[in-house]
Amino acid sequence: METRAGERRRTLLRAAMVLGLALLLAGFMVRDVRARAFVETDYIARALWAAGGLLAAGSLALDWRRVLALLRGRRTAEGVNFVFVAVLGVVLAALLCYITTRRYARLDWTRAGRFGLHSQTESILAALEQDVHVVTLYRSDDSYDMAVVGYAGDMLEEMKARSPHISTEEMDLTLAATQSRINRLLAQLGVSDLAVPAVVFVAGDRHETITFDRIATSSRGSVEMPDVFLGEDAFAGALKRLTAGEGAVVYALTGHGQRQLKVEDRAGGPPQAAGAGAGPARSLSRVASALEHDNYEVRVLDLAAEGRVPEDCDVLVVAGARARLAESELRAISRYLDEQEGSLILMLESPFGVAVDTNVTELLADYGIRAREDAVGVTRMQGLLGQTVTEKTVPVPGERLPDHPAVAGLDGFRLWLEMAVPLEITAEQPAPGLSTRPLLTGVESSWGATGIEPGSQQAIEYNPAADLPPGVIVGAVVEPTAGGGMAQEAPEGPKILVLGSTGAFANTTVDQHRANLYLLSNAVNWMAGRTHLLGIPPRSMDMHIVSVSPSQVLAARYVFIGVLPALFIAAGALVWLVRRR
Amino acid sequence: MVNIPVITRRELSSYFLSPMAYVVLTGFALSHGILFSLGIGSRIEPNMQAYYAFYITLFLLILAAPVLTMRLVSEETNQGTIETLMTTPVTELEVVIGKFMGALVFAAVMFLPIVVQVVYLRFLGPVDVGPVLAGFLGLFLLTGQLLAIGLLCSALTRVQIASAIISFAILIGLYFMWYLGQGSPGMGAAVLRYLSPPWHYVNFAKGVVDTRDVAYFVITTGLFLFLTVRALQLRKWR
Repeated sequence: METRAGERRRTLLRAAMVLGLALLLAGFMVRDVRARAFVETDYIARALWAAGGLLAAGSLALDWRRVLALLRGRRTAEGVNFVFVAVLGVVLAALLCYITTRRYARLDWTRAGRFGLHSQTESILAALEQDVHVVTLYRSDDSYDMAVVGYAGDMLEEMKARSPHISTEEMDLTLAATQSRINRLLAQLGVSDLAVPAVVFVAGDRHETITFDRIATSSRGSVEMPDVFLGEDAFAGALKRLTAGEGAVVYALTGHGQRQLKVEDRAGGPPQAAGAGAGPARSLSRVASALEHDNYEVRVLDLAAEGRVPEDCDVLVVAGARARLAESELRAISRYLDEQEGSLILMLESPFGVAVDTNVTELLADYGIRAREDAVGVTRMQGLLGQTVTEKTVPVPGERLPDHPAVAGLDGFRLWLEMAVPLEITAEQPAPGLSTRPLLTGVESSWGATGIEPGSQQAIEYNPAADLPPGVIVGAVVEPTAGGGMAQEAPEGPKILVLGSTGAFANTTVDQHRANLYLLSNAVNWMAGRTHLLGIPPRSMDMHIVSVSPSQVLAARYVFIGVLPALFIAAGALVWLVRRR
Repeated sequence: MVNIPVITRRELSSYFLSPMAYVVLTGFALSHGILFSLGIGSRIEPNMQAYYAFYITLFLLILAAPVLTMRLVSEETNQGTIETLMTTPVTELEVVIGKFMGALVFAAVMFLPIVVQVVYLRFLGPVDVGPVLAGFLGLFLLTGQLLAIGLLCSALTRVQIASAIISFAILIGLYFMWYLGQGSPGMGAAVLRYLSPPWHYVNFAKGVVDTRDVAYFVITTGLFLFLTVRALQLRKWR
């Protein structure tokens, strides 16, 4: 009886010991892991540790004689040796793993480079000296959120790999336990609410919120499967804004029928009243947003009232003036360029699209550029039905772009300039220390067509005698050339970017051709001397949806559910038969 | 180390002469085929479907790895052939590596349906080769780790079923850590995530080869093989 009672006691103590250790382990697990049912898990962890510790210590104390006997046995010595070596091995492995997590590399094997970083993002991260904590707020029950979290998570992993100052955290809004963490975050940021789902960049007491619609979008309209990732530019922009100092200022000229960049621009001149720049589709507000996103302040400039271009103007934009500028205004812009070594982006409006009567192109005469307002850029291309059509649009493929900061990173894209005024370079060195060169050259099948009646639908044929030659120029740049000195400083002087089209940068167009927007973003960064902040182009997720015919679906089922398993069964049967003989 | 190829060949022939091998091969091909076919609809994205093919393998391996490894050492222990093996001029390390390599080669044969699936997807549309190669690299490393765990369990028990159950429980635990560690900020959650094989494997399937993931699989596989060698050496003392 005593033996049986003793056996039962030992079994109970052994069970208590195992249970105690299990509770101790469970306490560690509960402390940090997400617990769907609980808001706070700390008190549960403490209770588990207390109960586990009590059970384990109690069972040890009550069964100390057996423990002592066990410790003296040979099997125990063997076991201890094994456990000791195992622990040593685990510690060594943990140490190695830790070392490999400190210095590591991520190799992107995808064709589209989905997981790599743009060189500009790498520069920003390399220069990052401030700690930035990135919090992703999402709902795990939303497929769009989860798709974006996947893309954003990969990008943030890449960023973490490049900078020790980046740390990340994810908060699933469907979990009750997340609420207390959100409250702590809100308190830290000093705000009462945050837009969600979003990625929040926090640096000290400053923060930047990037909502998911700015991170990924779908080119096919599929909400659940975004295939264009814009997040890198958004994330890099957030880092720029959080860590950069004062922003630069871009002025948009108003009063001559220009297209709107800012709402205040509605106070335009007479042509605007005709509706040229009115309406969100034709305005350039996307350009303004992109610039603000890059930490620029966009202001409207009424030169007739101001009399001069302000001192703090980093870049002046004239977005498709349709009315004439006063002589004083032209002189003010010239003074800005010559005396202030200013930067000008001059977008032209073609008279073939809308009524134009402007003298703004006179500004270009001194810089070796002639705007051919009597012509329009056209391209011979293949229509939907395979027929040849000539469109008043000039595509500029990435491979035709020169090596210039204003078009950096656009190699894989195609710019589209509709209703473009062709440009001619009349002098490559218009003045000492200045050079002029083409920036945007159309495809070989494009040319500058003349003799077309504005608004007419007549067939356009190439006329070598009168038209501008194929490979029409629709963008040109004037910039100071480097001096002969030993100094590596940037050359000083005015910078001018002339773009043959304004409509190419309107909201509806840049929504379809994002590269057009990135050209302007790059150009402004180059002109403002922020070459390390050049815009980052969007990246395609390299997705190709293919249609599968019912017979192909059926074939897949036959092969993968029928044929392949049957082959293995047949091989097994064959081996069995051979062995039987 | 010259004995390793001999032991590997012996293990392979022993695999392919046993009916269990064909049951595992058929079971894997059938279940993988069913799951893969479920993802084929009237419109698919071949790269995502290829990712899916690797993703489902992740879960099927929880079942396959214990079955593949359960007999490797425990059967020999149970039948007493381990004593014969150990009296031959081979070291414990050679035995362990040889058996491990045999299981790994067998697993490679088991993955043949995935190759056929990728070819099928390539026939339907463009498939990015990089993520597929990365996926196979990840699959190879993951399988190595799971087989090493199974081999250790097999070396620690005499009963095959017990070995399979223990290694299955360990794998379930490791996979469960992935779930537990998601969406939590603490150090404990980070450790749980790091310990979980799926956390590292999905990067490969996406086309990212991260040296941390490679190191994790190589180090943990090495650790479990080392422990298996120690477990075999422990027998000498008894």
